[in-house]
Amino acid sequence: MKIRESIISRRKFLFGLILGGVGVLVSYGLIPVIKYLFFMTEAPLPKAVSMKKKALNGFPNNSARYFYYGWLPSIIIRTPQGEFRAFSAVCTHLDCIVSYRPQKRDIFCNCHDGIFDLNGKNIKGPPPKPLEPFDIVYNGEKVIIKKHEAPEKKKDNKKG
Amino acid sequence: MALNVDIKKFRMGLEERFDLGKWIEFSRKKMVPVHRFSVFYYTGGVVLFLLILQILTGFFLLFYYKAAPETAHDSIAYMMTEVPFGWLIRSIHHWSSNLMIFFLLVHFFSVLLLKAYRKPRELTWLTGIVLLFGSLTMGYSGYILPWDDRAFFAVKVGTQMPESLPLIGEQLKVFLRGGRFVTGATLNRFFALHVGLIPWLLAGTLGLHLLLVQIQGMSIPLSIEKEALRLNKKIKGEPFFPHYFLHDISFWLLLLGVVVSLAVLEPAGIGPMANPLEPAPPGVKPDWFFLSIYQTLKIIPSKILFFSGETFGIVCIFLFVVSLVFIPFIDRASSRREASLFFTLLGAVTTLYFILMTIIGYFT
Repeated sequence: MKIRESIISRRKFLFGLILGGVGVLVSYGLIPVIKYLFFMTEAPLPKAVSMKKKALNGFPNNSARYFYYGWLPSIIIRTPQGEFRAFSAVCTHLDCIVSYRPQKRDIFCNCHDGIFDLNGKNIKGPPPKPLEPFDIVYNGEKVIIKKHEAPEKKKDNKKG
Repeated sequence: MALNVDIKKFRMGLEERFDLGKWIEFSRKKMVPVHRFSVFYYTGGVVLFLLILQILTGFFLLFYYKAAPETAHDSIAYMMTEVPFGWLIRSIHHWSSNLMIFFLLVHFFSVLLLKAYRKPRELTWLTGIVLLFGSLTMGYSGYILPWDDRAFFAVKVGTQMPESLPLIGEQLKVFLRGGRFVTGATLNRFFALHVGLIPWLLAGTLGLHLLLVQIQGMSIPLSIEKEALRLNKKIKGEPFFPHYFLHDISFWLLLLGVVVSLAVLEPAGIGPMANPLEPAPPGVKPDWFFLSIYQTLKIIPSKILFFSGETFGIVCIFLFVVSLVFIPFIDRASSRREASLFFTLLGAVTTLYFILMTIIGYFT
């Protein structure tokens, strides 16, 4: 029954109240469940990792080794010229682990034949982006590997 | 106005596809008796609701729990402290399991005392017994999974007890432990039981139990039937839908509030990680639903006739459990709708014994 002056009937009003109450209850239940299920279990990556300089002893030219940057599988390559370069070892296509090919002097992904050059740039195949590079800094007896800072950012930091 | 039209269209759509009309008609015609004991009819629905809550929260716990002795304890500690609302999900699981067993026991004792097991409901009783012991096994296997010191000794003692049973005892112990001793294999087995085997067994049995209740309707206690006959009055009833159904939902909502409040105010705990080389912690006891058995075994003398007291106690408890199955077939008087004083007294004594021994076990 609807009183002439009212916008809606009592039945609709009560139904709306109940529906609203149930909606609030469900959303109160959903919020913790969603946060629980979508929790990122990996800790954030560190700003840098370090290793002893002697870990790089006996590292031949034109070869590579794997290491962990935090939880991220990574690769350190010694180029044919003897320079050290480090990248994330996770292919930017579909997350396979890449490998270094000494005979071709490139970084190769077995899964879908993606190829990266010695700067980590994607040069052939499906990978859409370059490998994430790391900077290598020598500090006495330690070698510090840290997230790469773009040159512009470095300039801004210097200004600041 | 727009809302009304949409609901009608939606209902028509469902009706065309699933012939809902006859189900709605059935639930409107289905009557639930109303008398001074009809509050006990709600206990079954409450157990069902708490079971659904357990299954949901149990699924979520599977996302973070790692079932191996090296990782089980830490994975739960991680879930409780690092995962957002992990403490809430686990505590709801913990409290809903305890409340489910509580209401399950209320349901069991009410059926026993009101003789709802009598003909034609023998199969409903049998499926109910399976559900009762299946749920108690779920409760037991569940509190082993954290693999803390209490869980470790609970599984040691609990899996040692069946050895006292003649003929099958040793093999049953080996089956439960995955060997002669409690190891990681034991945890794997109890995880498999808790997450795999028993839930499926319970689901199938529950389906049959609910179907039988729908087919046969609610049992009316003999005293109410006799009273109605004597006064020449029809027993009042209310429609299942919407009256009884709305009462049921209200209880469920209230219970949800209770479970969440308990989870927030008294979150589930965890003891130190199990160490096989450490002695049992002082005052270690089973969970409350096994305290009556624990207390019974404590008071039995060490020797009875030719048997060790423990063997005698365990065999008696086993025989008691088995005898529950046959109650509807032995209590013929109730099946003939006659008074059955012996079974009434037996039911009352069992109920009081359980309550008393649980209280004594808790406080001593």
